[in-house]
Amino acid sequence: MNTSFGRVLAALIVASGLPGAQETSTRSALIEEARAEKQKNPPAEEKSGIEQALIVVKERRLLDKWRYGWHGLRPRVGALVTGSGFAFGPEFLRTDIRGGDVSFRVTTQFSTSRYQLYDTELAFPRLADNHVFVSLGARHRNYPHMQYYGPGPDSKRTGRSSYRLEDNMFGFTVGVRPVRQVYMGVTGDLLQVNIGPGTHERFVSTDRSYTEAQTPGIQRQTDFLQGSVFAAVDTRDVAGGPRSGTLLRADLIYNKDTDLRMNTHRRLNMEAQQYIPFFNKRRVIALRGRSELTYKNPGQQVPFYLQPVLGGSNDLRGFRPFRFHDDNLILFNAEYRYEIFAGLDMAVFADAGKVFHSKKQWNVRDMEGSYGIGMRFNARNAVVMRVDAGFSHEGFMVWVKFNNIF
Amino acid sequence: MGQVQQHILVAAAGLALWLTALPQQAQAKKFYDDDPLLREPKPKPVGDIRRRKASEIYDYFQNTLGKPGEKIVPSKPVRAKDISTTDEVPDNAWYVNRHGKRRMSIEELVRGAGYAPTPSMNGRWEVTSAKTEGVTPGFTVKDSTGRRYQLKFDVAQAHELGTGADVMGSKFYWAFGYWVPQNFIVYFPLEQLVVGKGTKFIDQRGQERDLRQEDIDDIMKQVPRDSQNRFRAVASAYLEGQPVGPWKYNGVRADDPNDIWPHEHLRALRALRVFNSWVQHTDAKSLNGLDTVVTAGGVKHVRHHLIDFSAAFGAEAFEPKSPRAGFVYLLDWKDSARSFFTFGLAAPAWVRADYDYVDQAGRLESKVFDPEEWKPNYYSPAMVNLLPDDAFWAAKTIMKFTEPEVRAIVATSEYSSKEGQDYLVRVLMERQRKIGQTWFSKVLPLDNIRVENGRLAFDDLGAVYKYWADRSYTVAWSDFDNETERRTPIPGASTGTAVPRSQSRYVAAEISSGNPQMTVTVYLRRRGEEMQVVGVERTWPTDSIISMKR
Repeated sequence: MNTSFGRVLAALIVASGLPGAQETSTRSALIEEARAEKQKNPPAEEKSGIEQALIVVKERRLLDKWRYGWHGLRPRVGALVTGSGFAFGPEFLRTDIRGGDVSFRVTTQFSTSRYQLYDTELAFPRLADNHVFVSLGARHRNYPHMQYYGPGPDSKRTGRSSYRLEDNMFGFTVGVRPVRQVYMGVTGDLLQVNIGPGTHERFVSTDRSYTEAQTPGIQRQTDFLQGSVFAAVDTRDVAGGPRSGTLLRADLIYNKDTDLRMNTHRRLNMEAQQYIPFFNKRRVIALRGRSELTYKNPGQQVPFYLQPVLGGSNDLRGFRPFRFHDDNLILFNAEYRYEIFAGLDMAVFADAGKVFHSKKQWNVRDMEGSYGIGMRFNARNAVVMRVDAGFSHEGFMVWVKFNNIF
Repeated sequence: MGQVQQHILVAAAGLALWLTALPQQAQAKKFYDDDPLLREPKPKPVGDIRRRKASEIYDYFQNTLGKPGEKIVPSKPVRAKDISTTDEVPDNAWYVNRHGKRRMSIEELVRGAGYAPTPSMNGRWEVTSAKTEGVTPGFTVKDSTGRRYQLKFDVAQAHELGTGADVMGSKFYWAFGYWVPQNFIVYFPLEQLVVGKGTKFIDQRGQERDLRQEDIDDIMKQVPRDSQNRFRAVASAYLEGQPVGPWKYNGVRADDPNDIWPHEHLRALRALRVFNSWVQHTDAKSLNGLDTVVTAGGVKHVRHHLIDFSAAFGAEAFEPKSPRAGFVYLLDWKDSARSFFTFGLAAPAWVRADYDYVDQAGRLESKVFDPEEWKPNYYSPAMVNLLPDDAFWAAKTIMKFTEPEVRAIVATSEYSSKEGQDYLVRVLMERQRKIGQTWFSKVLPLDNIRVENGRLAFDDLGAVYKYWADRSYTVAWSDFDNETERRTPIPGASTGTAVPRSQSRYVAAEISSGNPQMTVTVYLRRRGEEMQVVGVERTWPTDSIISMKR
C-alpha cells in the first residue's frame, strides 16, 4: 500500500467515526456536541454591503450633516417656483441657537432656468413661553421668465408670455399665540418691484403682447409699503398632513404705492380648511375654500404681479401654473384621501375656481374645473412628497411636489 | 495506485460509509436518559464576541422584500428546535420559565427583572451621553452609586404614553420568561442632570463636541413637565454584561457556539407572535433585541434580550398606536392592492373598529382583535413559523395572568389617569380571553399531564378556562420502542386513562376527543415501579396552520 492510498483509507476510517463511535446517552450531550461542532466550524457571518453602508450613514450622521450642514452651511436644493427648473445653492441655517429659541437663515439659490433667490431671516419662534413669535427678513428675487397668459378668466392658453420679476423685500412679523390653536399678528414690509422683458425662448415677452391697460404695471413699476394683520384658528391634528380639524385664516393687507401712487390697494385673503375623517382617520375628506379679494380707491389699480393667481399644483391642478390672473379669485378644492399603506395615501380630487374682476362675480358660476388622482407619501404623519395628475379641458398636468397641498 | 489497491479502497469506503451510518442509527433514539430537559446544559464559554451592528432600514426591507429564513409550509411543519420532549422550552439564554411555570407573586411581577434598584436621588445624575436624533431626546446617566441608566422621555402631545408602555412591557415580558431590562418611571427636576466629565455630544448638526450644561437645558426644553415642574422619564438600567449588538429573527449568531438552532425555529421567538399580540407590541424588530456577554454560573456566554417596549399597548412611542397596528404590515401588498383598486371603499374590519381612545393609554382595542391574524409591523421569519403547539404554549402562559396581576403591572405605567389604567386592564383581559379561545381550539389543549394513582391525568385548558364544558377522551395505549420509534398496541388495554400493565420501558398514550386529527401523544417511561411522563406531542389538522395567516 503506497502512502497516498494509506492516507485516503485512514481518512475514510476516521471520517466514519469508528474510533469515537460511542452512543450519546443524554440529550445534554447531544446539545453539547452540536455546540462543540459549531465552535469548531462556525458558519460564515451574514454580511451585506448595503447594510454596512446604511450603518455608516447612520453612525456618521451623514443625513444630519447633509440636513444641518457644516456649522450650519449646507446645500439647498429644490425648485424656487413652478417653472423655475431645478435650483441649487448654499444655505446657512441655524435652528438650534439658544436651544431652538432663535433661528437664522441665509439662502442663495440659482436654478437651471437662471432664476435667482437671495433670502435671509432671523426668527424668534417661541418667545414668552411659546406665546409670541417674531421674525425679520429680507429677500431678493430675480425670476427671468415668469408665466403670464393675459388678464381675466377668459385669457387664452395660447396667450402665454413671459416676464422678468425682480423684487426686493424687507419685512417683519410679530405674532401672538394666546392658546395653542389660535394665533394672530401683524406684518410690515417694504417691497420694491421691477418687471422686465421675459427671456423665455419659446414665449414672447409679456410687455410685447399685452398693454399697460390690459396688464397694469407691465410698463411702470413702483415700491410698496405693506402692512397686514392676520388671525387664524387652527385645530388640525398635524399641520403637515392633517386628517382632522379645521383651519380658518384671514389676512388683511394694505399695499401703499410709495412711488407712482397709482397702485395702492387693499387685499383680503380668506381660507377655510376642513378635514372630515372616518374609518379611524384612514379615510379623510379634505375640503378647502379660498378667496382673495382686492379693494382699490378710484384711480388706483392692482398691478398684475400682485394680482391673485390661479392655476398650478396648489389650486387648479389641471391647468398650467399662473394660468389666470385678475383682481379677485375664489377657489374650492375637495379631496378624498384613502390609505394604501403606512407611508402612502391616494387622493381623488376635484378643483373649481375662477378669477374675476368685479365683486359681483363672487359666486360659483362660470368656474374652471379640474379633477384628478394623486399620491401622498408620508413620513411621521406629514406629507413629504406628492404626485398629482390633474385633468381639465385644457389637457392634463402631472405635478411632483415636496409639500402638502392642504 | 494499483488495481488491487483500488478494490481495497472501494471496499474500505463502503465499510466506512456503513460504519458512518451505524452509530447514527444507534444514536437516533427518541428519548434520552435526561429527558425531559428542564434547562439546557451549561453553555460553552465564548471567546471574543464581535459587536454586531444592524441597520433598521435594512432590517425592514430585508424582511419585507427578502423574507429571509426557512419558512415552513403547512404540509411540512418543522417543530421548534428549542423545546423539550414534553413540549416545553427548557431554561436557556433566550428564555427562562417564570410565571407560566410557577405563579409569581404580585411583588415579583411588579419588580420585573430586578437586577438594579431605582436610580438614586442622593446626588445628581451625571450625563455621560446624549441623543438628539429621533423624535424624543434621551440621555445616558450615571447615578451617585455609579450605576448607569438610559433616560427616555415622552413628547408633549403624548405625555406619559410611551414611558408607561416601556415600563409595563418590561414587566410583562419578564413574567413571560424573556430577558429584559429593568425599567422605572422616574420624576426629577432639571437640576438633577449634570454634565459628566469628558462627555462628548453630537449636536443636531452631526458635529461632535464637549457636552455643555446649556445643551442639556436646550434639549430638555422639548420635554414636557408635570404640574410640579418635574420631568417624567423611563429609566432603563443598563443590562448586565457587555452589549454585542442585536440578534435577528432568522439564522444564528456565527460567533456564539451556544446559538445552534436557526432563530426562525426557536419557540421562544415564534411564540412572540402570541405574546406580542396580547400586549400589542408591534415594533418587534431586530433592533429591539440585544445580546450581551454575561458571566453566569462561572461561564461567559451570550444572553439574548428584548428591549424597548415603548411601542406596545396603546402607544407608538411618541403617539397613540396607529389603528392598522397589529392588523396589517406597514407595507402589506394584499391590503394595499385592495384599498387601491376599490378606492378605499373595501374597508376591512380593523379600519372600521371603534377605539375607546383614552389620552394616557393610547389606542388599543379588543373587539376586532383576531389573534390568528395579528401581525407585527413587518415580516418576522420566526413569528410566521408559529405552529399550533408553539401558540398553545404561549397562550397557556398568557392565561396564567389574573386580572389583579394585570392590574398591578399596568399600574407600573404610573399613568395619571385611572380611567386610562382601567381601560388598559379591561382591553387586555378581553384580548387574553380571545387568545385562549383561539389557540386552545387549534390543538387538544391538555396540560399538566401526569400519572396519578396509576392513571394518566391532565387538565383540559379549554375546560379549565371555561371555553367549553368537560368532555370525554379516548386513549389508545401502545408499547413504544425507543430505538425504532415503533408503537405496538397493548393487547387488552382499555381506552381509558388507567395505565395498562406492560413490560415495555416506554408506553405511549394517544389521547383524542372527537377529532382524530387533533391528538396528544403522551410517552411514559418506567422508572422502577413508577411511570414518568417523558414526552408530549401534539397533532393538529393542517387547516389549523393554513388558517394562521402568514
